[in-house]
Amino acid sequence: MTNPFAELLNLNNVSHGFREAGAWRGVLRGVNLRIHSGEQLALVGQSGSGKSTLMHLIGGLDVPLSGEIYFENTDLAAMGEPARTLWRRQKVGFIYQFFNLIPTLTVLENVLLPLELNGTPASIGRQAGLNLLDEVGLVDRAETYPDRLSGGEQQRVAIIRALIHQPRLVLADEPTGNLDAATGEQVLDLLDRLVRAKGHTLILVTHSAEVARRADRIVRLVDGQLALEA
Amino acid sequence: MSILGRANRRHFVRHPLQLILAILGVALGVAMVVSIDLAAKSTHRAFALSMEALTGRYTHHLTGGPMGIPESLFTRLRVEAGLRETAPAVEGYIGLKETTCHLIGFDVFSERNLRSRFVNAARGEEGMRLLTEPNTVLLSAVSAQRLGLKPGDELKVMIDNRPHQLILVGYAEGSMPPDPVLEGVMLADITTAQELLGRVGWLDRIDLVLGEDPSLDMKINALLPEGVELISAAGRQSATQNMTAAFELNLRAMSLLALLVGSFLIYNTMAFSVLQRRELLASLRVLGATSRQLLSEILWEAAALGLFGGLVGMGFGVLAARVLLHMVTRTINDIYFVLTVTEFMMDPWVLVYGVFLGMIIAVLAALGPAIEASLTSPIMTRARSGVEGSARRAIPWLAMMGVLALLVATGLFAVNLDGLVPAIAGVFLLLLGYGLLSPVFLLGGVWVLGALGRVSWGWLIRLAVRSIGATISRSGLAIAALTIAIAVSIGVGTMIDSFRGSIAEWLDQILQADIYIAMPASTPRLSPPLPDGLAERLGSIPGVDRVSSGRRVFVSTSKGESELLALDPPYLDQPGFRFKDSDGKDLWAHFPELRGVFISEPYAQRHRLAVGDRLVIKAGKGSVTLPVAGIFFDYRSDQGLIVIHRRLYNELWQDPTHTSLGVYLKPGADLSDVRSELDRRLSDLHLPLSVRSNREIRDISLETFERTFAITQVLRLLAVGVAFIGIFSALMALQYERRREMAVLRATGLTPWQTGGLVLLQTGFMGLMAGLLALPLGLMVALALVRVINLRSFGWTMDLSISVWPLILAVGLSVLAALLAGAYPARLAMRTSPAQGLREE
Repeated sequence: MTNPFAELLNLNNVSHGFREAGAWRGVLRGVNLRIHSGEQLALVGQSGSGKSTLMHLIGGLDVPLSGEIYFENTDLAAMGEPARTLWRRQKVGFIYQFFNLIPTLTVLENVLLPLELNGTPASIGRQAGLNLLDEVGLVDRAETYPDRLSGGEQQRVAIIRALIHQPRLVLADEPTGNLDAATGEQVLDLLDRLVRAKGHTLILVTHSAEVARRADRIVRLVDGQLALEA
Repeated sequence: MSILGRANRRHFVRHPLQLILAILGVALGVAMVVSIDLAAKSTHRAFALSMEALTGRYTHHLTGGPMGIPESLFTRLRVEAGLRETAPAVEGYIGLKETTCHLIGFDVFSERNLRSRFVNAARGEEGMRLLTEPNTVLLSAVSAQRLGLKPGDELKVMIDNRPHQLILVGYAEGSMPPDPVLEGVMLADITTAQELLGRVGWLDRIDLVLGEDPSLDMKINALLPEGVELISAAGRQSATQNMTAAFELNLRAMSLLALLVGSFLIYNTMAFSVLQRRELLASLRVLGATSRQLLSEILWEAAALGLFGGLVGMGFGVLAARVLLHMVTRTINDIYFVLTVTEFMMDPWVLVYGVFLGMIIAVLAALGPAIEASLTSPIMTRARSGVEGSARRAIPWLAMMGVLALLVATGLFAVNLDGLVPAIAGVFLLLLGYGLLSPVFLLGGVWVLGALGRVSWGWLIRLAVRSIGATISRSGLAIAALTIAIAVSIGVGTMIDSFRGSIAEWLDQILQADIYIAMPASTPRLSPPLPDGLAERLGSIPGVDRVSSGRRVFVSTSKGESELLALDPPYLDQPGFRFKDSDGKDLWAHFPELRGVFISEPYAQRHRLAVGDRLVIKAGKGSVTLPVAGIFFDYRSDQGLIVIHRRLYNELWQDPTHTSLGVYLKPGADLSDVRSELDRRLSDLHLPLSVRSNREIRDISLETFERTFAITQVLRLLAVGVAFIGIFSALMALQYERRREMAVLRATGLTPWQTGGLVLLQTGFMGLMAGLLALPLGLMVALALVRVINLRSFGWTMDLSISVWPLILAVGLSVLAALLAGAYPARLAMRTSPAQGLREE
């Protein structure tokens, strides 16, 4: 059984940057961060401060140029790309500002995709998917394609898709950035409820102080370096 | 199907037009290969059946001699050599309704004993009627059915341009069921056939069944008069079949060329479908789909596209093959030999091979885009600039590979390797290498056009041109495909023009007489001789200056059976041929005294002979060895021709007959007056003579030439058609990608017409670039076809003639194709509301 207070993520002196038009641009400079299992962390900072880059690194989409990222004592940077992909599909759920639902799949198929990638037959996952859709009030839209849904509905589907395979870590990048205030509030309530109910660890990237305040802890990125807020 | 699979597959469901275009692209490529192959296989089978109808179970044939074989030899073989399994034959071609039939005169009694293919005809009651009733024939049941004829019908036939009336008394199969092998075969008693064909006393062939005993060969050879040869049935069949090998290889190369254009199209489609789905693929990667899963998804998808396209192509191919079979048969009949069997043969292997080819090409074409999509990291895949960045980084590498391919192609053309395959590979490498280089040229063109945009009414041009450069990964592909197709069209067109020009020039040179007279040839090998004294009779016509004579025969040589033409040109100051290594004036001036031969370029090429080499010819008085004194350009046959002077021919063969006469008019004489008098004098002879002015011969020859190249023209058009679909598909995809950009422009204030104009400007520029890029490549392809492929295929050297108009037209065609392909996307861009475009993103 997982210890709810055990350390889930440990970022050790992580630095990253990009070469742009021949010049080097450092994005993250020696970031150190520990995140515990079940914790909700808000990552705030100005545009270009490195929030998304840090999310990509934590989610295994990219590897840091220096430093280590340990997930339950496993160094992500030391993993090969195929291993990181397998790790990501099992342990991580992503939620994006622009939803990123697969336009060619129905709502239910979008939800079931992570299960299928993890080897769960769709027939078994189907009921779980329908239950979750029911929970968010979208069960009657299960066979609809995403472009027929409103922004709020799409984000609710995206949240279910990120959670259905019971990931240890949920990464949400500006999940309300593309929604009006009221819908954003509803989406955050839903995310909060589901994440806390299942004990997932959540890292939430946001510009909004109000959104950030919902988290257990807030960290701010300033010029690629972390500043603890609360 | 897995959800992952569905996510990808439904991309095509949402873009059905692209799916249809992709399948159509594969289908057209496969259809071309399948149709050519089926047509080639059908002609092969037709050839085999025609040969089988002739040879039956015979093991050997006796052939040869300027007039054929004297009938008496057949009796000697039976009586003196005791060979019972022998059968004489006389053959010729006759016109019946719209078809040509192969008339075979056979000996009913010989065939009865031999159990040959005609045994049923020989044994039946109908066989006896052939012997007892004049002008009676049997026709194959298949042909009779096709022509709506039945026993008892009177047949109006044309033999040597003369009408004849024959009576159909039965079928060539006797009472047996219809036999496709006998299609087009008409049987007559040998005496009837000899009379009909003007061959009384002569045979074309004696067929024999010989055992293993080698002494038999010697025994037979001892009885043979000079010029008559004993050859095995298998050897004869393969020699005839070899004649068309180069022709068929050329057809196959053309179909592969079409497939190459088709594979560019498939590559285009797959690359676009991957590029369009990069966000979808990135999302799948983020969710945990592995590189390998995506790679295999895309490759399976390509294989499925290839399979569907292949199946549709198979259907198109079968339909097209029926048309092509007609064209191929006509070409073979025009320039090689007469095929009476025209049955279409469905070879299941060709169909299976076509479908597999479609699948393999589709998978290979998709490999690059699939690897690109699956190996890029999810973050990079999501960035549009990442795709263009890697495409731009690939350009120098592609260019280097292109230069390498061009160097290898040049090497293959320069080194005189045996056979056609290296030369055809060279053409393919030339196209491929240039295609790989085209993005570099394209960027250069974009820079130049961009600079023009700065000085003239520019922002719309700048916008259009810049977007071509900015979407090099997509526009580059489309332009490369169109460039190759237009270049192939230019290359083949220039080759045909050059060929036509060379033939016209050659005809002008060889057709020195004003009027030519010959007996029409109804037999495959023998031209019937003209009546004695005809030359003198025509020489006395007022206005006639001189009459020259020609004698055309097939002779045995150290290089196999060859066509020989004996000439006595009346004027020796102007060479009758264009010689290869000299102006020929000296050679021609001493032609009457020459104890040597001139050979045509194809003959030299085919048998690897050069000036000074020696050729052994079996003449009437034994074998003679003659040196090759000159090689002349000649386009009448790719089998080649030996020319000697009439004096030498008379000395060697003691044969005073002529097969053609050339009438030269005095300066100022009126051609129509001479022709009228000539016709009057010839009508007294009651002979079906062919009298033609040099202008008529020239026209008929050029008409035959156009017929021969009809199939090439069809394939050329098909290749352009495939490319058109390619560019249409590419533009559709490009405009789909740019709909947000268009929406933003519309929102910013661009009118619908300006938006449509922008799309058309962009596609027009793409067409213009492709057309301009195709010019040098097209000329290189033409050069390769004229100087290498045709020379190695047929042994014909031609002058490369480049006309400006076809080149301008080709560029125009390219722009027009691109504009037509851009019309629908332009209309879409005009009609899409900016709000919708912005919302879709």
